[in-house]
Amino acid sequence: MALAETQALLARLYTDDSLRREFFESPVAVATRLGLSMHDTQRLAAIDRREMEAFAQSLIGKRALYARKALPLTSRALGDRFDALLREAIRGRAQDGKSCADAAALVALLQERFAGRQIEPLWIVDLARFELAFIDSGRPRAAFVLRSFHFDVASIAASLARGEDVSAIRKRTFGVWARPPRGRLRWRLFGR
Amino acid sequence: MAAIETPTLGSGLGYRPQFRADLFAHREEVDFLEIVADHYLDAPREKLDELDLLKSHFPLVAHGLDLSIGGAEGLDTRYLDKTAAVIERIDPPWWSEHLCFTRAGGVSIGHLASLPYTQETIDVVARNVERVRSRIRTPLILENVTCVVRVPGGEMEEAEFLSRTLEATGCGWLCDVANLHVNATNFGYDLEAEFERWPWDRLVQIHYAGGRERNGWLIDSHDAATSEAVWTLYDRIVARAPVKGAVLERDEQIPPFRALAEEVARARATLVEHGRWR
Repeated sequence: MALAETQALLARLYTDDSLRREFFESPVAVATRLGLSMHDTQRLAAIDRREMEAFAQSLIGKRALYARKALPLTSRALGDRFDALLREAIRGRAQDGKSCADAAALVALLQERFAGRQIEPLWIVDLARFELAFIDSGRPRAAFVLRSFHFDVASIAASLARGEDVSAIRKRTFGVWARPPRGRLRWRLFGR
Repeated sequence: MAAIETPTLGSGLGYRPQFRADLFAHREEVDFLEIVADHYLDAPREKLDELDLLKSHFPLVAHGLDLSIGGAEGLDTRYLDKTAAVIERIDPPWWSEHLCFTRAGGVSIGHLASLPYTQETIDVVARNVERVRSRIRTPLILENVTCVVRVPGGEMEEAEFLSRTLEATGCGWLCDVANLHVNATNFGYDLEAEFERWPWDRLVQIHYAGGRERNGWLIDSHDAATSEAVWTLYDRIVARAPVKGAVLERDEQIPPFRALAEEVARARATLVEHGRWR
């Protein structure tokens, strides 16, 4: 067995829904296209589809769990919609090893929806960007992050953290996050 | 002869920051801690201070998640260097990784993927372990993982694969009792009947945890109390194997600390009963 090629194909099958579907429709075509010998291809074609799907779904579940932890207030505000939106945001994207890349992808999707007025409530995008700013500024290297918001995002976050209903106020707000290498993070919001 | 010469640590707990305050309030109820090395890679100063604080109050061992020791492409040198820095900082008697692969072909899988049970895989693991040893002198022990996808082309069963891998690498075994139970249940083999096929003499540490059932599969989700089936297996293993330490893993739905401490106490009682701990 050519282990490196087999593992590379498995890694893609575990993380790529489209390739997985294609593989189970035509395993020989996919495996040979991705560099497996005919011998290894025939062996791998015997893989159990149910097991493969179970593993792939567990990976998605794990990514959703990490994204919920990265964006806890956004997750609370979106409720049941969180997982569906995350799946849409990361569709076709393998995990890149950075645990917060999926959270960033979700925020990008919410911003697209916001631009098209396709997401309710509108303040959810500000909230997600607010939470993501802490992640962006928390990386090991020095960080300086500037964000502008349409709503009073601090009040929204505080209400959600207390488990209260959110009564969002439109208020132009700016945020600054600064952190020296491996040092303490400082941040502040300015309302206008 | 023991797989590695090391002190016995007793009944420990996988450290999670959520219960830090309770842990320090009940220090005497936990003999040692296992930290997840990955949580301290690229860590800010506050996080490293936490590590130093833990080290000054508890014996520590380290547990890695993403080394991909079974990866045929070799190891990620930067990841290895960062792991080495964490291990040097806490100077544990041993550290552990999973016998699996987590990345290949430029894709990070994001979880522990099963290896094909072949001699070629054993050779790859042995080569990677040698590479690790050239960077980290602390003894490495390898953990059996939950198998979800059985890779076709296997030349042996899991027990033989594990035994031969430990023999080829000279590593000790971190026996995850819950993973043994999950694999046996999901794939319908009789662990009781095949008990002696596992490399008990190489065992150094135990993991135990609770999981859940989803769509007819047992999942090693670390989000529930340890099941009685796992406790029964744990008791049998402790009676049979030279265990140096047992660690409760709990990652989600973390209960009040009292419940964790009770599980740690139950694990300790079995260690004491079989002369594995004072």
